[in-house]
Amino acid sequence: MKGIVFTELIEMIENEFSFKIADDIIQRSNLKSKGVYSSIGTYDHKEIFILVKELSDATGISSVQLFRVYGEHLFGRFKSHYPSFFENVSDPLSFLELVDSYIHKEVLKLYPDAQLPSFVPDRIAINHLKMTYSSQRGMSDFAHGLILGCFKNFGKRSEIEMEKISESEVVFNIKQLD
Amino acid sequence: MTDKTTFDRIIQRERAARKEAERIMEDKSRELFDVNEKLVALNTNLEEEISKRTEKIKESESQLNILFNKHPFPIMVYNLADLRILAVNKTAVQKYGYSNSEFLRMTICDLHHKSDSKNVIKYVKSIGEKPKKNKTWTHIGAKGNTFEVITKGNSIDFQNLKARIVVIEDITEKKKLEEEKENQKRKYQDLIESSSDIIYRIKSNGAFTYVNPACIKLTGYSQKELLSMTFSDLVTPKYKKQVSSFYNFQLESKLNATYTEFPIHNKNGKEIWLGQNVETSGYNIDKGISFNATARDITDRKKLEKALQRSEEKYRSIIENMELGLVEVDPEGVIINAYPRFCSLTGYSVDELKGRKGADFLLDDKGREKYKPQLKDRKEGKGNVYEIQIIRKDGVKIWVLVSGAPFYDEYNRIKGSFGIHLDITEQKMLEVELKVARDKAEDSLKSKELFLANISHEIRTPLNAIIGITELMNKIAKDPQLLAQLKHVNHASSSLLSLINELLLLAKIEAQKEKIEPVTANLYSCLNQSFELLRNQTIGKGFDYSMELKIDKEAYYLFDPIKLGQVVQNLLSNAIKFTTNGYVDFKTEIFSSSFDSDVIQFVISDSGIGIPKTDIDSIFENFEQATNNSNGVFGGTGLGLPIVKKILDLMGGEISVFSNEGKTSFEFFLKLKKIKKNELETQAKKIVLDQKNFSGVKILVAEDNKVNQFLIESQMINLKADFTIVDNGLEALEYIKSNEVDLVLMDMRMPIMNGIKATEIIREDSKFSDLKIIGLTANADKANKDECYNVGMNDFLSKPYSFDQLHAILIKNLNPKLLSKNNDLSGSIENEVDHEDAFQKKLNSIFIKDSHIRILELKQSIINKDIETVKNICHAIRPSLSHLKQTGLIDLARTLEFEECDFFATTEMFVVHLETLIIRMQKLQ
Repeated sequence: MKGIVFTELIEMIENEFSFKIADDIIQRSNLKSKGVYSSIGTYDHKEIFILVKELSDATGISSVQLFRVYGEHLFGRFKSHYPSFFENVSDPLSFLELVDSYIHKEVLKLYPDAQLPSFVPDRIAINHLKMTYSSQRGMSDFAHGLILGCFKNFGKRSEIEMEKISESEVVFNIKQLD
Repeated sequence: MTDKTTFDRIIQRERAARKEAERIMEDKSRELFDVNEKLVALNTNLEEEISKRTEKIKESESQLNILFNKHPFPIMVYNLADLRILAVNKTAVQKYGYSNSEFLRMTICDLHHKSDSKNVIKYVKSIGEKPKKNKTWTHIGAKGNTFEVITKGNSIDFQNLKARIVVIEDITEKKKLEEEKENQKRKYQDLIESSSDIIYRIKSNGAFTYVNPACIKLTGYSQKELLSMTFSDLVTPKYKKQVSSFYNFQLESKLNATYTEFPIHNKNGKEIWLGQNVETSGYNIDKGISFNATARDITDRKKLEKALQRSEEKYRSIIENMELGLVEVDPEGVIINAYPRFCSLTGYSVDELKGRKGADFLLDDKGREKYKPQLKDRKEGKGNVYEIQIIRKDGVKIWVLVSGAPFYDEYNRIKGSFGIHLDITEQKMLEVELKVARDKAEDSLKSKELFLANISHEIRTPLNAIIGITELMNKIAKDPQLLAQLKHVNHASSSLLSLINELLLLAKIEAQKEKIEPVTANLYSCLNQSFELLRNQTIGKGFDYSMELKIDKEAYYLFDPIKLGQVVQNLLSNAIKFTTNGYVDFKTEIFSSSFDSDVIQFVISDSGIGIPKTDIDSIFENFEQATNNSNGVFGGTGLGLPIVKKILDLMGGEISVFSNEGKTSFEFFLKLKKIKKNELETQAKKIVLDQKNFSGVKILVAEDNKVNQFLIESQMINLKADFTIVDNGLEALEYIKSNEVDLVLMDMRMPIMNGIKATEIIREDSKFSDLKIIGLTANADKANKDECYNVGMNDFLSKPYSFDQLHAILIKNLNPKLLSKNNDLSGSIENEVDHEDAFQKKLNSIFIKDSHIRILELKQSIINKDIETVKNICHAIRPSLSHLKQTGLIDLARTLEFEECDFFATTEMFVVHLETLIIRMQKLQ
């Protein structure tokens, strides 16, 4: 998993909670990377689950909630890091539609070793998009957060239903409400 | 609160993260550098590549130039807009005779006839609209020469102009060849198309690829229909399998050409027979083997064949229904086919008969001999009918009547022969039965004759006694009345005897047992003798009895003197009988004469009572007599004339009678062969005149036969020899012991001791070594002679022997000293002839007397079935018969003695003949 996901998480914990909590979590997590993350490095994706779990233990907030919040947060960071992806895109569903076919392809150009989930869109109606998420990593909650972040970023409201097909596959029914 | 250690750890982590980031950055920079390096190198290579490729392009450009210029076909490039020629290759220059610069001033229209320009322009305009066929153009060269071309072109950009490049191919020669080929093909095609034979081509699966019009016409299917069909669709269903297996065979055996016949059905369902030749037409990898077939409609011929077959079958079935066994064989006699009736006739099944030579097992050796020429006849086309015995399977032999004839195939070649067999076993059996019946009938006829002969003999014996006693009484009787009565008895018994004798003779003639035995004889003396013989019958009668023989007294003819004598005597006797006064006249003269024979006329005429006209036609029939009188005045049997007629028939003469008012004459003619003097001399040896006087020569004769004894006795007397006769060998032995003997005439077969045995005994005694012994035998064969010499006889004389022969053999064997004493010749021919006459009479009487005994002995032997006695009698009597020239009896005697025959039947016949002879001799005596 790309280092930016870890650096942004640590940064978010440091800012939202405290340096102490961030350091404690790292200390308790007994990570292979020892919590040393560079945004351009690549690290074992399991470490993110350990970190989130430790954070949930330390704060009493559920892992699902934490992944969603982090996804929402990270989308905002993407926008400031990669503004070019947002050119010519005016609404959240259109952006989501582009994730698999355009954004992930562009990501692979920068990080040829990146392992990306598939995000297959199915436009049911003008304000309704069905997206099938499939990944071996089982980070659907994180994905949920990213979708929420997308709507927040475009200043739109949404109604999202999550249907778990299996551990690795989840279908999102996304409706834009305004 | 956040303590210092927390921040330290955070700082350390940040540092570590920074260092890791720097390391990653450095790696990335290095990667970027490497990529840059590669890009620079690639750029350099690209330049080199470009120059290389430029070189290559230049090279290929010059190659293309060569290709363009050296191309064997003219190539031109012209402007599509104004048709101006933009470039030509060197071949074009050479071909058309224009220079390059001349070309560049021309349009492509200039290559064509002016009249063609429009077409050229039209053609160019249409380029690109649709694919073009290869159009043939006529191009004109610089010198006005024309040639046929086809062009192949492509639109190109040339010198920034829309242009067209064309390759021009001169097809003048090719076209000519093609035309020729086409003509040729058309010629063959025409032949095939116009052929009345069916010609088609099929693939190996039978699908038609070509059919000619005759094929269409015959089958009734259209060409299109046929080409969608296979060959086997046409073949009559029944023959499909046969035909397809035939052609499979051709395929498998790789036969190039075959012929077969089969029927097809045309579209209308009509059956048509084809005679088809099929040739394999080479192998093609793509299409497989195909066949060329020619076929001819042979329906008519097949119909004929079938009709022939049907008619043959019809006749066969008729023959079969007639219960005639029919069999067909090939020219060598091997059975091709046998029909049921023949099978049941022979007991063999068809399969057992077919393929075998009938002669090998159906016939025996005798049958095969008979069959061989039949087979030969068939080969020569001859038919025949014959009877043959066939051996059935069960071994039973049956008789069949075979009608055999050759038969032919449709080309008139002999295919073999057939035999129609009719079982005639029953008929054959009937035939055998008939033969048995006929033999029986013949036997009964023979026994009738025998009965007749026996009866006659039985009657004759007492009759002889009556006659004898009558004569005896005649001598002693004195009473005139008794004498007269005795005369009647004598007369009656004589008549009876003569009736019996004549009856017997007639029976003989009718049974054709009586034969004419011509010998060389003096006709005059024969006739004279007969005439004189009857003179005594005329004594006391008042008519002239005269004879006039106008023939040579010395002439000898070949005839039977006894038979002729009987005829003459009979006729004279008749004439004398019916004549009381006037005359009885006998005249003979030569009626006509040829170099080797004379026809002699005999006329016996009388002035007796004559023959009534009503009777004249029947007087030569048995038991008819002139006047058919009942008063018995004339006596006689009425058999005389029939006998005369029958004897003359046998001699080839014909008798006729003329009777008118008491004048009767019988006339007959005989053609007799003349015997010339020199023939006569060789035939009848003259008596040797230098007769020697044998007086003082002591001769012993050992001979049991009384006739021979008498014969030899008279000969000895004639030779004046000193002789003694004994009856057998034993007596001869006794005699020589006590008497002096110079020579022995020793018969070989004698009772008590035969001559062979006696000679052996004599020769054992050296005292008799000088004694001459001459063997006498009736059998003059070599074995007999050898036997005589082997036992020590000096010489050998076969009976009957003449006086000369006896004389010669005596002189040959006797010591000349013995003979020299007596040299006076005595006797003369006259004396001799007189003596001969008396001698013959004596001889005959002895023979007659002797024969009576022998006949009795023979009859007894028949009853006792005593073959040996019969043979001995025959042997003993043969010399006498030879002497009497009785050839018929001699043959019978010889048969009895030596040959196989129905012994006792022959004996009986011998007895009858002997009796007849005796009767005749008695009559003449």
